[in-house]
Amino acid sequence: MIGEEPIVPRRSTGLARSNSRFRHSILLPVNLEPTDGIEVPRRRSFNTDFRPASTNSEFRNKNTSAESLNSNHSDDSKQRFARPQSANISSTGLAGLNLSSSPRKQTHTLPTRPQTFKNGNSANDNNNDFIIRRIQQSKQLRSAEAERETQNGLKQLQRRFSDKQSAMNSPLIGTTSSPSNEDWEFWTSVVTNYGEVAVREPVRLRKAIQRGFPQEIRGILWQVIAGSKSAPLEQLYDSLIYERDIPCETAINKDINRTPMSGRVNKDSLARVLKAYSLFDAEVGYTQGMAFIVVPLLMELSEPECFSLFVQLMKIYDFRSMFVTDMPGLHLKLYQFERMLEDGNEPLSTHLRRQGIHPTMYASQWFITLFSYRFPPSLVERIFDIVIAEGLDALLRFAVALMKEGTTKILELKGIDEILPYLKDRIFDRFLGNENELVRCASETVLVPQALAKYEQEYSELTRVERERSIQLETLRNSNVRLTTSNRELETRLEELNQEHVQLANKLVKGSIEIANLKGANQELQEKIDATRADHDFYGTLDSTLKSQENTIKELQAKNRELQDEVNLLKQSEKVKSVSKLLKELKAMEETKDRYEQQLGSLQESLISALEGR
Amino acid sequence: MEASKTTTSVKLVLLGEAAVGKSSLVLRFVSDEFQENKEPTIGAAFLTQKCQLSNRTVKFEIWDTAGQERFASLAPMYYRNAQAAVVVYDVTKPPTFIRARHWVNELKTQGSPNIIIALVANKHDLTGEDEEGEAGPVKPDVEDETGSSIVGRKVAYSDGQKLAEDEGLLFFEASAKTGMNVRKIFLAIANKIPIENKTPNQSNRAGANETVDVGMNSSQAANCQC
Ligand SMILES: Nc1nc2c(ncn2[C@@H]2O[C@H](COP(=O)(O)OP(=O)(O)OP(=O)(O)O)[C@@H](O)[C@H]2O)c(=O)[nH]1
Ligand SMILES: [Mg+2]
Repeated sequence: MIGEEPIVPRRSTGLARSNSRFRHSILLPVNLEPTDGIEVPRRRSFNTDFRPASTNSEFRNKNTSAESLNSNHSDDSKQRFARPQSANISSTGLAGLNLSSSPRKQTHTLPTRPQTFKNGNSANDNNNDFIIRRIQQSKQLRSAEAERETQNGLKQLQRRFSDKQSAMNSPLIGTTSSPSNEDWEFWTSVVTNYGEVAVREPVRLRKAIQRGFPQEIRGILWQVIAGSKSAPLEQLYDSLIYERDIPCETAINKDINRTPMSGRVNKDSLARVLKAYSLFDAEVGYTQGMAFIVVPLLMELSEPECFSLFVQLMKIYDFRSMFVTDMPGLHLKLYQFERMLEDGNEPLSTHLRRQGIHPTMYASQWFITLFSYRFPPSLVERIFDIVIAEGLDALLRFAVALMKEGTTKILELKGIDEILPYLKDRIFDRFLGNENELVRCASETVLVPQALAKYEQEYSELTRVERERSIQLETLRNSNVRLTTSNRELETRLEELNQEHVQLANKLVKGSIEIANLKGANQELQEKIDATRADHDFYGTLDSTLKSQENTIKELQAKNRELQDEVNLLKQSEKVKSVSKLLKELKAMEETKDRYEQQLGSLQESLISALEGR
Repeated sequence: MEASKTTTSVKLVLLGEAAVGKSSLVLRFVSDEFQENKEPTIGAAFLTQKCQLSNRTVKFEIWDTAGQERFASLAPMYYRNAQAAVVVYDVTKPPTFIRARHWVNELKTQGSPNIIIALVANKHDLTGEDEEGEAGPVKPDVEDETGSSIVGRKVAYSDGQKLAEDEGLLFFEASAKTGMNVRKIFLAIANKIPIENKTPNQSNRAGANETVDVGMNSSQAANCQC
């Protein structure tokens, strides 16, 4: 599958794929137009019976059978690895989640985004716009069933919230942890009806989010806002962690200890959540960097809740596009970021370009890990607050704000080896212990949905052109291979011709030697004739005959010389232009030679007869 | 440091499967350190280190890429103009050798035409062989101290050597952990860099960079000058 894909980042297919991948998910179906011709694998109990109790028992049952199935195979590691992931999942009764990829999906076009987002809403405020967009988008992407589950989850969260609140108000536990300046009434209304608060009190909500969620209820608020609490997903998690056959297990285990921040949470929990996700979404499986997102979540949430929220973020928030093959979502964000810098911070953008620094070099890790790769947790949790409220685009807010605040410093730095370490490891220094300042700067960063959409369009145009170019390049490369082959053939033919040429030249040399010999004989005869003539002046008639013959000889000599010149010419030329011509000339020469020999013969005869007559 | 020496800047890229030890090799080369649990590289890391040759200084500008296959779409930007590449595999993990072969092919078709490639079999310390016993036999599995991961040589020396010979690569077995051969890799590359690449004004322009590198050079110049 991977091998068939061009390396060029493709936003559109990536998105299409990510949607089609999940479309059949029963737990979190996406409301997209059904694509014709694709068989939707129907899951028995999931579609019809969605009650937690029954699904739960089904999981358990299937799970035990899966375990026995696995233990049967456990010695046969080859078979275990060869077994497609689909078999693996369906053995646990989760066929509905195993969305076998259809080859057709690659030709899907980008599903048009819900128009409501384009048209915006009544609130002019950009921040709030994103909050409401996020709420609408999530609603659109969730199926009715999933929405029901979300509502059920909300009720649970509301109960937990009021428990927490009364515990904090209790004089016994009391004042130590509860920050008195928190507007608990407002948070109550947020937990009670987030969507409504977003519309009715946008400014207040935005301010509250920017101040940062109260630590005690951060986990609750994340789930409320993302609408992620889902009993079926949590039950699914509980069954997934019993799965033994996990294709990404080695990769995940290897990275757990290598992820320094894993020390902040239970490492086993972290590994379990990552493994469960890799089973849930086999196409993505495990990508390095995911751990950096899961750790901050796990710091606030239980394992199943963390899994559930992570699934929401991946799917509904489309974090997934940053983790699939070719990482189209990442490339898009990088492009949008680059363009925002270009349009909003021209001097910095120019400076960086001149120094040979591209956003990929430093911002990839910002986006893939939601800034948690290097940034301290105190900043990361604030970034998470805003990304959960606003969506993935909020990352751009932080990235652009960081660059803006660092502009003066960056402009002073020269060369990759000065600038990159600053961008990666020190750019956030000024916000340490001053997290509100970072959030303030980020909130002031203007993010215009239309501009982002424009950049996205530019980007898909660019990748289209790029893709065409790479196809062209491929064609050129192929025809180059063909030309090289035919070139080699031609070289062989030339070699053959050269050999023929050498043979012909040899023949010519031989011919010219014969001519030279004949000339010598001719000379001798001439001398004889001269001597004879001196003695026999009186044979007038004979003499005139001889003279005419002598002329003939001279003519022949001249002709000989001409031929000799031609031979020389031929010798000089590097290659025989036409083999046949040469052959013809050789033949003509040989004929001439024959004629000449005949004449010589007759001359000799007449000479002899003359001598005899005398 | 001799100011009169010319400095040749060399863009070098590290490629290879995840966790084979690319970042560790660079860390050993640049700071002579080793970290038992080096974090995965996300995207790419950039480091520089100088190598003193008898007649000139070679400054390596090293791009250390993320190894996981998923990140492959980011790699071309780093190897595209690279003059040198170090392709790394883990001598205890045959699949990483296959991946190394893949990278060599990709470099040959997509990289600069005259790119100098070094093939490196890392984690030689896990073979249990001493550093001279390069051509040792493939050993049966033995548990390492943690008892969790299986170690022992799984890719024969001759396999690496054959690939290197077929493709015209430099070849080393090395260990970022013990430091074995790490410097030799970069030195061998430095020596193959044609002299006309030199950028004589580099040292003046780079100015403040020196503070980063000088400290290391003072202690390592001798090592590098072998
Ligand atoms: N025993 C041993 N362990 C090593 C050696 N080199 C690296 N390691 C360990 O292998 C693990 C991976 O090393 P890294 O240098 O991070 O590997 P990488 O190739 O940069 O990995 P990615 O960044 O994920 O692509 C770390 O835990 C290192 O400590 C070595 O020579 N010997
Ligand atoms: Mg690394």
